[in-house]
Amino acid sequence: MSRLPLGSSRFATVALVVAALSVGRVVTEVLPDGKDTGRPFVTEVSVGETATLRWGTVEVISVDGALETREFRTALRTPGVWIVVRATATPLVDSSTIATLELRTAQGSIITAGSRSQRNCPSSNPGIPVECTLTIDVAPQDAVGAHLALIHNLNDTRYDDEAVVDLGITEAKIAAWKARTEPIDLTPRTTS
Amino acid sequence: MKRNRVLVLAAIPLAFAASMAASSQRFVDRWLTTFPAIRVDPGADDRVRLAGENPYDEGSYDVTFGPVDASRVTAVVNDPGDEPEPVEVPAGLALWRIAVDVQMSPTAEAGPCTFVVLDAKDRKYSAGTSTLPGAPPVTSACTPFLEDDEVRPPRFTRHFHVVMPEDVEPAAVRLFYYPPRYAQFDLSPS
Repeated sequence: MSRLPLGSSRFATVALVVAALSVGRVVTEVLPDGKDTGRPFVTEVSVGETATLRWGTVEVISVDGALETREFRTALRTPGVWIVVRATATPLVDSSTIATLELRTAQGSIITAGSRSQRNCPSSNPGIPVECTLTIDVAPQDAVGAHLALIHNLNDTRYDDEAVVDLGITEAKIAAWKARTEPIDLTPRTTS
Repeated sequence: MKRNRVLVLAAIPLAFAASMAASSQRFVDRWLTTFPAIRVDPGADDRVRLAGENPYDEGSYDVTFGPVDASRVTAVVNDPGDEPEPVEVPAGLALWRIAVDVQMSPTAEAGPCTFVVLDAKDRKYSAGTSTLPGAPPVTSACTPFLEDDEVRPPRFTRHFHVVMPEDVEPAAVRLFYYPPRYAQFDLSPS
């Protein structure tokens, strides 16, 4: 049996091919796949902390709750609980705002803005803070430990920057909100 | 021969890294502002003519923008000649009125026009007064509103109102019509 002649150049070539394939394999293993492929860049903050995102800064000022909200002469009552979040958004690059929200419960479900859960957050120019009022209708057990994601891009959150705020809602707060008799007034403070 | 083969193999990871970098969001943000759009600066007459085939439909377009003038104001005047509507501008903010002369055929269909103000750091500001309490609504259209029996004049002036922080000033105005070209007017500092 004769030995296969293996020149140094051929050996180097084979080694490089094997190395390239190995690198490819490692890259494939390291890169995210499936639902993680386009996951957003998350900045986690608490109430009162400023999240600095690529498009602007966001800060949740207050978190309140009640069984009823009122805006002008319209009242909305829920068998669950209303969470009312007041936040400021200050664009940094171009005219924009918080486009949508997601309430992420401790149980893993996601409640999005819809017919009853509302986002009142007008667009603003760079450097000009705008006050946003976000109302979410939620079952009390879903509110405890929930986090609120404030999202800039309405249609596509892949690779987007988003602020995720720990709302600090406890069972004691839920009990206090349910015992409250006065509705939360959502009427804008300044109207034309 | 051997050297070439080594170079080719060495180029593979480099090409991979380059392709990853080129598709990153920050890089896309950078080339999107240049490659797909073509900036057209005004000529000696301070005007920019945008004309060509409508890329979305059959037909052509022909519009001329400029000159452009910016002034800091405390009242909204949506159309030249309108009664000024005073606005209370909170401390720290400033209201700017950008006047743009427009020339186009009275019978031409208005195209998809977008107006943007840039400051010295290329931050982009849109027309609108929603952040000013009690301010009247303002227009962001490049053509005037007409009643049914009115005919658009061949030359008219549009007013755009922009709210900016007090410590920045408009440095340029961009007017997008049909892509890929857009007009950019640099404004001299006040």
